[in-house]
Amino acid sequence: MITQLLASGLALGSVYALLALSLVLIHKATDVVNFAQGEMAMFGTYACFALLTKTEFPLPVVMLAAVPLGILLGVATERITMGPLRSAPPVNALIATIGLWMIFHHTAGWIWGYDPVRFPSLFSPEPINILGARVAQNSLGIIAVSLLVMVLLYLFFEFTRMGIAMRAASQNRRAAQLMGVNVTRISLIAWGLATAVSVVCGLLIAPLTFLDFEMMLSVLLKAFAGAILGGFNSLPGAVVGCLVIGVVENLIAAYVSTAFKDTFAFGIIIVVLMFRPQGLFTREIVKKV
Amino acid sequence: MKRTREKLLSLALGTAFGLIGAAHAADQGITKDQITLGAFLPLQSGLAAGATQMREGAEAYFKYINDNGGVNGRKIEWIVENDSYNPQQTVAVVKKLVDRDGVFAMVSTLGTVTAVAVLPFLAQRGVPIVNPAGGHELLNKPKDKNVFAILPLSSEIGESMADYAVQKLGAKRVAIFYQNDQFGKDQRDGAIEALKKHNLKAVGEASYVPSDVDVSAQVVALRDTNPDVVVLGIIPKHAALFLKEAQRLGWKPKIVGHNTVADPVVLDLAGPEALEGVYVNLMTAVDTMDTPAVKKANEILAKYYPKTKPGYYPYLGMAGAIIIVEGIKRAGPDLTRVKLISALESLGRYETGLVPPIEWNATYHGGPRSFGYAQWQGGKLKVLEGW
Repeated sequence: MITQLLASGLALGSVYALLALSLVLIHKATDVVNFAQGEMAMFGTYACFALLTKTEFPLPVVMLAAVPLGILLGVATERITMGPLRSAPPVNALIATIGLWMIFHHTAGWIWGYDPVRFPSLFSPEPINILGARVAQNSLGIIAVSLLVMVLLYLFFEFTRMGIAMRAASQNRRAAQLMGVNVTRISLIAWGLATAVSVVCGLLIAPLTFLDFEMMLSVLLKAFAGAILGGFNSLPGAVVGCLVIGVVENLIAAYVSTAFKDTFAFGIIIVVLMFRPQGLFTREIVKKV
Repeated sequence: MKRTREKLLSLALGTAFGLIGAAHAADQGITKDQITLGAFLPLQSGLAAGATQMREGAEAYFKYINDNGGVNGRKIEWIVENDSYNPQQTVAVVKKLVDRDGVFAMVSTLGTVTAVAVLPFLAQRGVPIVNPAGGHELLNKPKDKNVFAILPLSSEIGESMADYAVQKLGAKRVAIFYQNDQFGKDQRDGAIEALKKHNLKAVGEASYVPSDVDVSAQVVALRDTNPDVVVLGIIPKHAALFLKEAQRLGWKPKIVGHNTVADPVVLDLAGPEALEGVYVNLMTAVDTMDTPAVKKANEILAKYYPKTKPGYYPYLGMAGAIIIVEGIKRAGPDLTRVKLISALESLGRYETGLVPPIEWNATYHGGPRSFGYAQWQGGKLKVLEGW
């Protein structure tokens, strides 16, 4: 039982991790917490599903199309809503993303209906035996993709000029601007990249959770929790945080009570925030006046 | 001069009182050639899929009646408002329906808390409400004179499922998986009660909340209690999640599920293999039932809403429509709310063919107390027991 619980917990955690990476990416580059991330992923997944059913392109082609589609969705959203808010207080951008959440949520239901639908998977439905636990191939795919995306983004932020410029822009926008960093462009790129990642995330999750306009609600909350656990600015931290949440949630559901699994998961977050407000995996940032 | 003024005044007063008088004689929402009915449905919410199907089932029947001359020469207009499953919104839209649109009665609404929130208002105004679909004593075993239930109490469904597991499937070890709200908990409580009667206890219990996207931990926990039968008090999406997860683990207990597991959505989501052999409690018809009533309902639905698959929600919506039309017909041409209520109370044992027989009388307005059972076989529902 325990190995099965651990395996499904890790599979579940990797679902959260994939979305958490997008959250951290936007936050790292623009200092905005995007509450609409889950709904944008859901919206993009629906758009891909429409492409899949209307054009009968094979699934791998649609998966590839998801990247430019996600970039487009992210860039357009940034241009229309975040651009004008750039000089406003940060809380305005936060409220705007909550508005976007509602807009994407209800627009998707309005366009594509409210029935959950089955979404095809890239992987065979036959589960694989790992140390006695039966794991869906789709879940292994999600774990692989989240690790890959994490590594690529990590390299991007640490070792490319653009990545370093992004980090600089989020830490001190004015100073970065004075150093010749194009802050507007950075925000666009971050939103485009993050949305592409989250649409791919939606495509990978949908075969497990079914495609549904509510599919991302609890995923987003858990992704937030995992990202906070990891410090919200650390990509590896977010992934580990999400995996921890997935596993803890599953263990509590099995050994304590299914009714309390969310409560316990979020209880842990509160405890962490009390004793390590900077998260488990990032160093405390000391601001000098 | 004085005379003219008096005449005008009496004319004006006469018109005013005349209108009020007329409204009392025939009640609001009734004209020479039209009856206005209303409903509140959560058309934008987690229950939106069911709400839409429910609306289409009822609407199809009203259209069919209207195309065939209406009821006693009157056409039916059914005004549906969305309440987003938010009781505050329900209160607002019901006030609008009753006070502004002047509906005669409400029929085929969906939502438990939302309906409970507006019952006092509807009772105070004496507006009949037929088929408030939900799971609450006030809705399924109503005390109010104006409320008529088509659905049984959730606890009675749970009881029936546990009885079926023990008596028909010979279960000694029964586990329960349920939705953690009143809809699911009442079924759980009913099942536990029924098990007690058979001197049994539930060997395992697990629950989920509707926003859950994964039930793997619950499935593993239940599997480890080693039950013969798992009772599901559940909605279609989570039934599909449960069945797929059990399939992945290679775990094949006998399963008895709530009527929602008969929904074609479950077949679409889980696939025929995962559903194979699952028993389903029936409190509405299934589309494969070979009866004239079901065939007619399928034809009506196919004619007016060809995209909507027959199933739990369309049948439930349509059953409400059939019964209110029958009540209106029997209440006669001088229709009033009081007459509709007594007509519904005097229906006797009434078969719509889409839900188990209704047995309302002056003191009992509750839902049916008998159920059918079916089994999923090769992607089709086979009816094992009628009601």
